[in-house]
Amino acid sequence: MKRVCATLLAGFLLIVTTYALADRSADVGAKRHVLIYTPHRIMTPEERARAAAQTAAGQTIPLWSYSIKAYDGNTYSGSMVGRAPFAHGHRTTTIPTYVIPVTLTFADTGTVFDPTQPDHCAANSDSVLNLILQSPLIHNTAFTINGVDVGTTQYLDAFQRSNFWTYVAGTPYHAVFSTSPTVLPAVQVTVPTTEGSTQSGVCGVFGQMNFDWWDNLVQTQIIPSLASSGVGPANFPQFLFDSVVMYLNGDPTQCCVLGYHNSMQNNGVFQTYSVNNYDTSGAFGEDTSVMSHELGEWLDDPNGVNPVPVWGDMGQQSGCQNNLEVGDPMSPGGVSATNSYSILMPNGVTYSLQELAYFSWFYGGSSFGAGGFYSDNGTLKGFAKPCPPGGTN
Amino acid sequence: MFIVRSLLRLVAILVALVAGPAAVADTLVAIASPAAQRATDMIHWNTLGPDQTVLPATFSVTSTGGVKDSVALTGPNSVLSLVCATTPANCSWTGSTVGFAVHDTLLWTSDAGNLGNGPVTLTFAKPVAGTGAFIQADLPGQFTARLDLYNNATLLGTFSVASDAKGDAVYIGAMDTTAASITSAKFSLTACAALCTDFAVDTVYVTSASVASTTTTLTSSANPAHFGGSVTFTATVTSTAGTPTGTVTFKDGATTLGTGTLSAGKATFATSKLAVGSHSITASYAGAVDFAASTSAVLTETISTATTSTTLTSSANPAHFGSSVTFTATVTSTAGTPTGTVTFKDGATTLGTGTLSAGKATFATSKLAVGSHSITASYAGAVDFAASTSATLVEVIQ
Repeated sequence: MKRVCATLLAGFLLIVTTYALADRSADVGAKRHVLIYTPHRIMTPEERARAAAQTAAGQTIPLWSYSIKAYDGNTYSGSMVGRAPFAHGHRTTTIPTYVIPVTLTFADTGTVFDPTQPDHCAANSDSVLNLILQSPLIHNTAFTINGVDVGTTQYLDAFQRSNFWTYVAGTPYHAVFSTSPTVLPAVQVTVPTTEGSTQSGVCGVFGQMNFDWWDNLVQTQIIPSLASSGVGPANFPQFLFDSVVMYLNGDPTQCCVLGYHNSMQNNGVFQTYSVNNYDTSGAFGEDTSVMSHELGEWLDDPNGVNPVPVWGDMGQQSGCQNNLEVGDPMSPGGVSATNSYSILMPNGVTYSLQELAYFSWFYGGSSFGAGGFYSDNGTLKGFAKPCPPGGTN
Repeated sequence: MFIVRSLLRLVAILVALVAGPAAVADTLVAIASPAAQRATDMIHWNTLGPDQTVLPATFSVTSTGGVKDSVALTGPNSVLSLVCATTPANCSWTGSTVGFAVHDTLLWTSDAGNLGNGPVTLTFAKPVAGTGAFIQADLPGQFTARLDLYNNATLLGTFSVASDAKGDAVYIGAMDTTAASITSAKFSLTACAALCTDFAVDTVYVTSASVASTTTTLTSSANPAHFGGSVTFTATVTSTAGTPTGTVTFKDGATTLGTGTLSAGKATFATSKLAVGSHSITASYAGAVDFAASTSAVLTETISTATTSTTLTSSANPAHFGSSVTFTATVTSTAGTPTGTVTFKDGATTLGTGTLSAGKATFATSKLAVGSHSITASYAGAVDFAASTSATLVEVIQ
């Protein structure tokens, strides 16, 4: 709680609680800490109003707003991606999506991490790009969540349908990425020695680079440069790494961020984006778990500031947290139990998908979610407890 | 001067040719329900495809009457939305569905992004007299539906209907009672919780021909009337467009008394069964193909008690002192057989009472004194029957 307050005052909230990574290999050396990172700009009321107006004008991705009285008696308002499940009508919202592979060349060794090229350390020796496109994040799969058949769809749509199952059961409500997203040519980035280095993994190497340097590059150069390719506030760019992680505050010892989602002002318009690593080095052993975490959070908290009653002591958060980040309370390896999905896809690859917390877990009351649960794989059976001390009912 | 007059005449002729016959101002009235719309044609959106069919910005739709009308939206990617696929629990149109029937297919102006594609403009293949539909905002909460009716570019009229606070669907419709002059209809929302361009339109009801307004007046043959007496109500239905035909329903308050068929614009209904008291009688014309329904003003019919007549007879007159004499009072009415009691008097002295049975009451006595007695029988009256007293019967006791 102390840290939350301090960071709120700083105007920049880091969700950096770690979850212990299983010791993958002696080659990795000391046990690393994986950081699930959500940079939060605190939006002013004026920015919120401007974003809402931009959304209404069709300048942004589809967003819907809600206002709900939570278990603590307070009313909270926020916005999510897609169309309102509480509205009268239901239909599919397809989020225009760009998948943007990022080829990172580390200057220290000249090692190139190219997600578009076959990777002998990856499943099927396939490219990371192909593996993502065939993953249940993009490829439709039959999902039974909490004992409820929520349909054959992408994981995050299945999550969102189950999240609001009371309202969308049996309806064509969907919030999906195109199953054939626009894949842009790889963005070529050289990581100078001052901003990153190559490290040994279990299978080959992985890169680690300065988060601040990278994110500044994304916002000031890469996204603006992709405008001519169609990338803009009305769509969702997802940057994809092959075995490259990030460290915080310019300090390599504050490693490792495997993915994040963020928002920015793109020519004055609200723009969301996400950056995710697909690890083939074996140092982290993560495939789509972190990506499912980040995209789930983007879906339900696209600007990172949807307020909720303060929760904590859950998942990766050993302290307290006050936003609707559906992945954080359920991060595996954290302070509480979780139950990830393992999904075997037609390409023969088994993908890991993180369990995500429901809207009702944050705000309380009877669950809107599938099966009456408060998370999408049966772990949470009651809603959050106030933090401190946190935990769950 | 001749030239000037000729030129003026020529100009007048040209103006007349351009303007055509003098136009009659259109009279548009709001219609509050499909029944009142008296539709002769309908547009069902399911003819365009199954649930979730994505629509272009403009398209044609064929009505049940085979008329090919055109529809324009603000943009493409609106969809058809089935109110409920199979059961109310399996409903893509959640929340209140008041006004929307299960299995109805809606034209939903929802687009694939953040915007709606409303308004919905319906252009008829040939002018119609009226149209209307149930309409509901996408997002819950109160909204105001609006209907603009045009004759080509000319706005004929604008109608608005506000929903309840929940945002239940409302029927918004209108009728041109003058002529079938509506060439297009624009459905929209003017106020809503959010995103007023995003709403759904159910089946569109179309009235092809003009329906003339009518006026119904009501008269009574007897007012006030006595209970049991026949009263004939006459409804006269008139219209500037001709002589209406059809039926008229006569009601006493909310109770239907009966119906009559119009003949030369008049329908009658006779009854002798109205109870004593005041009755609020109305006559409602059901309307016909070319004539709108109308209801008369309330006629207050007063029914008073029925008159009665009491006659008195004696079993023995003259009679011997001490012998029994039976007086029989017979009470009659044209409205039926009265019930109640009869009081027998000797002058001002009450001898006794008898209860009417089949209109007769008797009183027997052997105590009359010698001499003449002025006997009368007085019927006290009942709910529906007035009181009456017999003529004096002079009973002689010897």
